[in-house]
Amino acid sequence: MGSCTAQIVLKRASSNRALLLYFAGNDVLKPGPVELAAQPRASPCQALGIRWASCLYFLKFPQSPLLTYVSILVNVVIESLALPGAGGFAFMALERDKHIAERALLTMDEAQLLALYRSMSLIRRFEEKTAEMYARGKITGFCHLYAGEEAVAVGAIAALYDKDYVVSTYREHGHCLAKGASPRVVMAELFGKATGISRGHGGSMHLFDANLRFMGGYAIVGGGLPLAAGLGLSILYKEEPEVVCCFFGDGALPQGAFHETLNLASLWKLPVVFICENNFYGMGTLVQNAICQEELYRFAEPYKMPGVRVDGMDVLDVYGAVTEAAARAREGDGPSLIEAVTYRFRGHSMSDPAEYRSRREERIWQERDPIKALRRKILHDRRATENQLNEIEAEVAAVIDDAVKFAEESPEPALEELGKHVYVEE
Amino acid sequence: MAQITYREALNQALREELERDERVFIMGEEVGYFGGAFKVTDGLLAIFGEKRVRDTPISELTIVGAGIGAAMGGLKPIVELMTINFGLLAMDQIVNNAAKIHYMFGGRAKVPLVIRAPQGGGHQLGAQHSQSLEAYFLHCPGIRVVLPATPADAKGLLKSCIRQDDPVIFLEHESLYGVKGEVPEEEYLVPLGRANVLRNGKDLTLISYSKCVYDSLAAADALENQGIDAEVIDLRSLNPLDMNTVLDSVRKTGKAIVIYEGWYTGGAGAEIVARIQEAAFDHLDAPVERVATLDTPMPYNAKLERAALPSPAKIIQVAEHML
Repeated sequence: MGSCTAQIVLKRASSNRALLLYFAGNDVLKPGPVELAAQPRASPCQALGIRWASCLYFLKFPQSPLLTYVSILVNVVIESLALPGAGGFAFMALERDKHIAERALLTMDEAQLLALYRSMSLIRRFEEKTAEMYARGKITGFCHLYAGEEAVAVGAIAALYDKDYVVSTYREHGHCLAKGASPRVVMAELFGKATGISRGHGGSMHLFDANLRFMGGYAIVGGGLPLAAGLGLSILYKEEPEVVCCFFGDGALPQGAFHETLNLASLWKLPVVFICENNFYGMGTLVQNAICQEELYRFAEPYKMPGVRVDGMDVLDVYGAVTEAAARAREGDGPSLIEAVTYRFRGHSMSDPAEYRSRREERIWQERDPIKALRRKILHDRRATENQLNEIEAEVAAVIDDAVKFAEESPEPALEELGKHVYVEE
Repeated sequence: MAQITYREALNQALREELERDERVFIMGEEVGYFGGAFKVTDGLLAIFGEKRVRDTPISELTIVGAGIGAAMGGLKPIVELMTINFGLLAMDQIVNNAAKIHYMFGGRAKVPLVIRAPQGGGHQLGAQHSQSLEAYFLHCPGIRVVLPATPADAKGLLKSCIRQDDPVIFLEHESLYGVKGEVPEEEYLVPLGRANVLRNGKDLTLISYSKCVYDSLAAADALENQGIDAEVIDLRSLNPLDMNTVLDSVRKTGKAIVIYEGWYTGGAGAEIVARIQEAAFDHLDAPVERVATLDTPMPYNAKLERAALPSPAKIIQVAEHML
């Protein structure tokens, strides 16, 4: 099979498993279900604090009849827990294989694939413009960008019907756009304009559109989870077929609201898909420093619901898992917990330069950019041409430019708006 | 008119609204099989079933949050908190979500949720079970605060709260559940935001709500024997707050005492006092006074507890001093 270079990134020193294989620049062996036949001999290197080592590993490729056991030379990236910045957590476990993602790729037609690509590109472009407008002082206040995590929102929401509900957090631009909001009204809201999706009353953290069943961004960590349970209850009550998709970050897991809500949702078999976007950092605190069980999907177990960890940088993997969970919820079998392992390319908010993590860690994750990954996949499978993808990029850029223009030209809310909407019945 | 208790009046209101509107349902700790910790929901499970009278685990934050979500999903939930003391666990959902959602989403979302909770002292339940916390909610725009004193108001106000579209904290005083009063037999509503003048007088205005209304009426009776003619106003709700009725009375009498069971410092009465002096300073013959619970956690000992709470005797003492 010739030479094949792979990088194995170890989750942490104490782990017995190499958890994810990342193949650098070699498409002969596609990243697929890959198991390690032998334990990596990583411990001595880590004990010495050595960050890089070359080792010989035996790799098993169960899906390839030609390559049952192949030994290849791999570059192993090892980062010890003791190292500052804890960059060694760059890749997390993907213990499930990706047959669902593979199947999604096969069953989706070209239009569907391109729609995913467009939606992710739109969010990325929106966030880039948002950062630019923030730097120019057009957008103020707290502003949390979603760049890097697009595959989670887009994959999950693509698996829903229009009438399904979405509950979000303060890092919500992506969810709102993926649910179908016009970039114009979202950008206008960020600008604080009267034409904004929340009339300029909400800002970046409080977008809402009942018609799209985008049920709002909530800026208290964990605050949206009980609402999702309530929406689920309303669905059961009215005997409707919808489900609720509730997004929250890894930072929400230690909150009481998370545990109370999972208990209630499971107890009452509420049609809710809980999606934890594990981007490793609650602001600047590493997951491992905040949560005793860092394999977050395992929190499903005590609450008697299915829990899976998916590759949050792979839109099809997210899509596949949410499709399964939503079907289960619709069948009346209750909630699920999905942990989507992902990474935010920017700091926690616009004011955060992310000094708590290494630039190299960031670069490793940028290599796994979900948009680039889908692009590679589409091109590799010859599902669209490079031209088609470039056209989408250009179209999306124009849409976002138009959104900025719309926001800039929109009026500020009138001063009389200040006291309005405090009560429905004044 | 029939004489029924405050508890029965609330139960009737719930039953009638459950019958009237399919979207109305009740959830909370012990509301179903137990019949409510204070028996307010007694018998409703048997009539309406588990779907509409729903027992919950002890998770106040999530019960209230789920109520908000259900309201946003088109239902009309009535969430019972076993007492307002436990409601503190739900403060995030009440203050950050229920009270904010309509405003922060530009008026495009609404939360028609009623949160019912008993509160108040006087039963030797100690520091953690005797609080009157209406001021916490009054402080926060976006949520109605309703405190009925009489059985007729309990029924008529609760029905109004269920039928409107803003979130409401509906605070029932634990000492009032057994109090009897006349309640109309035909359908009626008591609108929000209209204070009730229970007793006309020309010398002094006693302003209160919830259980302190009874203390005020008792004090007014006693003052009458001394030739002092006190007007008694039951505010019924703090949000909306009917200051017009209060100001009309104060402009007439020139003197006012506000009586409330929250703590003296920062209590709801302090707000009423401030508004009176802002709007009717020229009509005042004396500083507006307050009778409230002393600034201490509630003691268990009966004598100490009585001394901490407002009472007719304390009102009379302040009134005599004032006149």
